[in-house]
Amino acid sequence: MLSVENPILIARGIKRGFSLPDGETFFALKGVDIAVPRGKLTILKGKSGSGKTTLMNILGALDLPTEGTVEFDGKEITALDDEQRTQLRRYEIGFVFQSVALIPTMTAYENVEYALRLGNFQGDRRARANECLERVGLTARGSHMPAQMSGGEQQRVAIARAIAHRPKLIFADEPTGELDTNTAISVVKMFKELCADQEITFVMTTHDTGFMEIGDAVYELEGGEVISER
Amino acid sequence: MRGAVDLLQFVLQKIRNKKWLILSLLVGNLLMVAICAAGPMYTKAALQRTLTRTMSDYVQQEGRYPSSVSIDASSKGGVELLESDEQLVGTLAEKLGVEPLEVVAHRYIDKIDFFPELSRGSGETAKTARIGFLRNLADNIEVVSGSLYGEEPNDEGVVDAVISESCMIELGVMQGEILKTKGLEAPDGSELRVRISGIFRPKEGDSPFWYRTPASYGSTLFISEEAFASGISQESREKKIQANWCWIFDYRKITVDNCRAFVRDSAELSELFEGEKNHSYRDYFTRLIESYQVQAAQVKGTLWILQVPIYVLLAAFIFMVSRQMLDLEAAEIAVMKSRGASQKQILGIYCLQSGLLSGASLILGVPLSFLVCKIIGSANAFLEFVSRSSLELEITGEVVLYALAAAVASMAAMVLPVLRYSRTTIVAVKQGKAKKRSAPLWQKIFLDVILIAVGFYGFFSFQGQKEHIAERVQSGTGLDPLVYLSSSLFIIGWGLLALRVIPLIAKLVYKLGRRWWPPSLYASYLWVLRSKGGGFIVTFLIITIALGIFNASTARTVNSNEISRVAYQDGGADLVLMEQWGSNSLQVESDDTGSTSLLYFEPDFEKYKSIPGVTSLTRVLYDTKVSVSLDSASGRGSTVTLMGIHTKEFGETASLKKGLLPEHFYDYLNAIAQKSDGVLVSSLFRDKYDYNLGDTLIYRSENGDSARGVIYGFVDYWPTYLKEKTARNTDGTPRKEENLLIVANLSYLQAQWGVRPYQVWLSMEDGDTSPVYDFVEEQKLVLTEFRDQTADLVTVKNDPGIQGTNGILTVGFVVALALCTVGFLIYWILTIKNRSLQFGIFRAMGMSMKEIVVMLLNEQFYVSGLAIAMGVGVGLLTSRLFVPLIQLAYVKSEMPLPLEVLQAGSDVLRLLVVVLLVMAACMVILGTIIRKLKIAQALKLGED
Repeated sequence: MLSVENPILIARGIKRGFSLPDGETFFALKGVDIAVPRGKLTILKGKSGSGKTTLMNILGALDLPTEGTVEFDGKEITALDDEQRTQLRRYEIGFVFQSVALIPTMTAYENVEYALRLGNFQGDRRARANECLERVGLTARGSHMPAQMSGGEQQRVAIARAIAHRPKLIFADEPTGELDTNTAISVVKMFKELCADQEITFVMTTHDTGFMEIGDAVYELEGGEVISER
Repeated sequence: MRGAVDLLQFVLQKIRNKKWLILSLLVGNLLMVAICAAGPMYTKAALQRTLTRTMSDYVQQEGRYPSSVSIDASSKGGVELLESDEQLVGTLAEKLGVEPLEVVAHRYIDKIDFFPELSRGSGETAKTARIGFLRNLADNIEVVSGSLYGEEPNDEGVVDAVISESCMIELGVMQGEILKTKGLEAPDGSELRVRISGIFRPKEGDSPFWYRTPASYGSTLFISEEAFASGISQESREKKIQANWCWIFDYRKITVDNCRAFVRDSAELSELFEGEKNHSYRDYFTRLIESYQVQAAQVKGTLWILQVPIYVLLAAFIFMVSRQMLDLEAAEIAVMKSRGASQKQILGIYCLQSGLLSGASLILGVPLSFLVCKIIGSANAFLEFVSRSSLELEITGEVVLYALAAAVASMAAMVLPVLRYSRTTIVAVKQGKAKKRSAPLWQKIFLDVILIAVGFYGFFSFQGQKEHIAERVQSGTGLDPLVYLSSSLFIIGWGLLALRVIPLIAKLVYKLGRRWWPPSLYASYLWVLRSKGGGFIVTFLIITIALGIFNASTARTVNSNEISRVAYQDGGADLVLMEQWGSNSLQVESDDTGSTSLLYFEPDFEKYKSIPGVTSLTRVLYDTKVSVSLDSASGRGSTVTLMGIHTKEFGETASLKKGLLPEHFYDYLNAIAQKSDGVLVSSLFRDKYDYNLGDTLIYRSENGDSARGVIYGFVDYWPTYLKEKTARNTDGTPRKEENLLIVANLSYLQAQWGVRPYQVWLSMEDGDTSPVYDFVEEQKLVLTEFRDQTADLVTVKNDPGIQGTNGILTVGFVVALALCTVGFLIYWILTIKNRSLQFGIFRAMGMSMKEIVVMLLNEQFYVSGLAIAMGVGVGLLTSRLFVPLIQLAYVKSEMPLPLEVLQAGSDVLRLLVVVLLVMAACMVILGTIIRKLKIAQALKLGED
């Protein structure tokens, strides 16, 4: 584990087993230790099947590890109940998923604004939603339904939605997976900028080796274990 | 070959993966096939029962086989002709294609004078009798005295004969006696002599051989067929022989299928005899079959019409489920295409899949249809069953045809939508998702509004022709199918309109509370508004529930009106009977001076009180031949129906449905009880002839005795009283005639006119009339009139039209319930499965389980809740409008009471309870699915 000053997230000894049909247990994570620096971009790198998405789900309080603990801002989130973890996700964490995960019955603007509603945002929701859309360069497409936008545009709406209620931590699972290189680079750059402007911590997974330089911290996973860290 | 096996494996795999959906499709298909096959199966069985019952009733009433043909011939045209007739009879069996039970051949010579050979004294007169033979007589009799005849004349040329017991009495002859004939010669030219060798009686009285009782042959001396040929001279025979062949077969052999052929073949046979002077032909079944056919056409029409909505419902269900499945599979199909599957192959997959389903439904559905028929056949009222003599159900060509048609139709409903999908590529599917869905065609052309308008138009135009429709029904034409069709269209129209209305309601509520909606409700409103809400399930729920309610209230109304009619026509008493009264009528006739007046001998009335179980009884003088002078100036008179009653007893025994009269029934009775000559009269006296309360009427009995009555009240309804009598015009069309009524005090009438025959009305404990039957039997009472309300009700309930209606409406209701349940479950489970990604997002974004449940409940309210509410509303409205019209199909020519539409509240409740239970079960299942939903997994599932 990297020694990080004032980390926002610390995971220790994370194991995650899945029962197989033959009664055996398969461990997707075999004891991972990780520290995420505050207000920085952390990259979890690995081929598909390396366990990076499983790890991210556990770090983001979407899933529980079979063994090990996760501390978020000094709180042990692996000890929280479902309701408390839900609250945590609602107010302090944002997600940008690998698949485009917008709510299909809401426009781009509504998707962003909905995060504000959920996050109980105090202030002008309309202004904040527009500000976020502007931040990702989609002011003009606010009234479009997700199905009417391209993959890249949808991804950007998802980012706008993730940052809207000013969470402390945003997880992005392969955010560049379906994007062309230029768009991908601009998305990752945007993450960096957001780290700086809005004091948000980003954790993203990728199998693309191109972004390694940009990451403030990089963990490489293989077969459910961290094989290198920087 | 390999390809086919692969395909099959692929399809089986697919079926395994979608087992719930496939299972519900199977349920729909199965019901469709079973109900379609049950239709013709039940109709045929019910009609067969009606036909057989018509025949057996005839046997009971007439004591004669209706399934018989007889030919009468006389030998004026020579003996040869008789021989050819005999051959003709031989061809009958062939022609009608049924083996006869018995062919009774009878030949005789009529009006032969006989004298006893040994004179018993002076004053002996000739006795007139017949001599003849009945073929196979020997096998069918039992000789009670003496012996059977020999086949040939004895050595002295005497012919043996046997006679029946009644003949013996009639002719006054004895066994062993020898009779000389006059005018009948033996072959040697001498007068024929006949010896009474024995007296017989039928071996089995009910065998078809004795279709005519021995007594009906009159005084016939039966000799052997051989003796008839050899013992009587040729000349004697040629002159006078008469022949009769009666060809009897089992009436159960006349079936729904062959009865038409029977009538036709019989008509052809009778043509052969046309213009023949000495021959006549007649059958006894044509008239019965023809009257049955009128009834059959009516029953068939009604039953078929009643089934149509069930078919529509089932088709809609299958279409809905297969659409749902295809929506789920759209991407899958597109992927198959992109991997190089041709449209043909994709169609092949779906044809195979639906073929397997339809095949299974066909195999299971036809046996299931027997069960459906049994249910229909045992329905006694709506959702009420009794065990009845079982129907003879069989799988006919028609049944198979219907089942096949149902299977093919449901296959089409499953495969046709694939055509559209199989043309699209994966790109198009993605684009299709992007396209804003424009309103469907039916909405653009306002099909919903048009359908409702057509329904209303149908209602108003039929409403205007009510009288005309009723007349047509009574003349046997049956109810116009359009009446039923317009009610169905009306319901479908509302179901479609709901797809416009419900989103509007949701929008309105959403807008009203926009500022306050918590995130869960906000998201759910957007879903209801933007994903077209429930879509077809809304329409389906509305149609199903509305039809269920409509079915229930049609059945309830038809039944209750029939029951009320029977109760009214039987006066509300359990039994009405009249004994045969003796009188001095013979003396009156023979008295030329006219001084003897007619006296009746009153049978003991008190004895009825001793019958166990009688709760009350009364005497009612019922006379339809009374006349009244309506206008003293012109002297115009009219016949009226007179009822003489004992007010207290009548009130206890008879009854009248509440609401028919403005005041209580008893108040009218009390009114005339005040004064001995007080009368109640029908309202026509007031409305048409200007009589008022307190006016005095003079009325006369048939033999001219007069009586007076002071009017104490006017009534529209009175136990047994019909405002209109139906008379038939010469061409057979019905014609209504007004019917006047006077109700007077029996004691007054008896004082004025003497005691005249009256009816006895009885009311029994728990309506159990059996003690009276026992009593009548024990006392050997001769009754001239007997009406049993319970028996009359049973007759009504066994009427194939009423019975089938109850059965089919019950089945329709049950099917509606079943489809509601299955449709509802499928719809919601699929929706949830389809939206698991969405729930994953919501959960990841920090929405709690509770909020998700709130969201779903809100959606349920708009999609299911409002649909159910609308379904109930539409069902009630449709019943209110159309049930009175449909009821016309069941109105007998004399429906004395105003029709009442019954809104069966208990049935609506039953339906709602089931639907709500299903909804609750659904919510539990959904809750489990959502609770088990792993957020991470859901998000993964959402990936294409």
